[in-house]
Amino acid sequence: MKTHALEIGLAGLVLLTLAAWLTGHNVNASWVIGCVLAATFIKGQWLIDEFMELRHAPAWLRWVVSGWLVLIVGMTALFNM
Amino acid sequence: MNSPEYSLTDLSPPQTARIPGDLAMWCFILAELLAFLLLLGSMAFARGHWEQMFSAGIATLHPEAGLINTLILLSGSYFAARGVRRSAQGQPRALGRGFSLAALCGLGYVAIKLSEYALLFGAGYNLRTDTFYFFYFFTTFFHMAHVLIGMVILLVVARRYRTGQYPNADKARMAGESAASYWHMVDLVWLVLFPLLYVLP
Repeated sequence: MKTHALEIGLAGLVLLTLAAWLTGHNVNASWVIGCVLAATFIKGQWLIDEFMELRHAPAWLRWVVSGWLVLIVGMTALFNM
Repeated sequence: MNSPEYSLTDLSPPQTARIPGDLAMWCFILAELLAFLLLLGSMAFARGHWEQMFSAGIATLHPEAGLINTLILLSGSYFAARGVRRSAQGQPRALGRGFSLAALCGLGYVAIKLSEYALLFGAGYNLRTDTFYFFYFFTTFFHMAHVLIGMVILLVVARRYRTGQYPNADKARMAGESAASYWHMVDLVWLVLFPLLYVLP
């Protein structure tokens, strides 16, 4: 399982992207914004932890990059929900 | 060292927290993220403030192009991460192969983005049309410039790696991780830009 972590992660990212894209284009409701932004945060955090390998980096660096993601997603939610 | 076959297996996995790649590269990445924070934050504000203008502008974009570009960049990040991981597991050629595939994905992204620009310019839209198109063209062009920089970095590191131009395995690993980290930053920015332009209703 661990040897295929990147492949499984990529499949998860692709599925989340497709799900968010299809939902965003077919459903016009305010909850969709929340779901799409939650999917964006999950994808971004996974990329930070696994592709960037910040899971094992010093805590300050992981928090700065994750904080950047939280700020952008939070601002988008604040101004668009 | 003149041999391209770096022996990375003698570098035991990190037992303590360590920065992937060079600290200088991370300073550069954090500065880039700060610039994108200001740009994307302004765009999120403008999207909420001029809701109708942004809805009308977004309707003229090509959502399939955005989706395909997202999948391409995610694949590129995967190839870069796989190259770094496999080279650390004793497959030195994997890094050059992974970085070349990631750069190829970058090329696909640029081709699709340029064709999208051509369609929009052909339809009469440009940077001066309104606030939406200003943000669209400026932000996506700024991002595409980073994709191009990332491609150059990946290809240069892959070439230096293949030809054994790094003095030792530690330097080679640092260069590989630094290049991959920059590429992942470009992907991370696109993951946030994608819903703002192509997904959110």
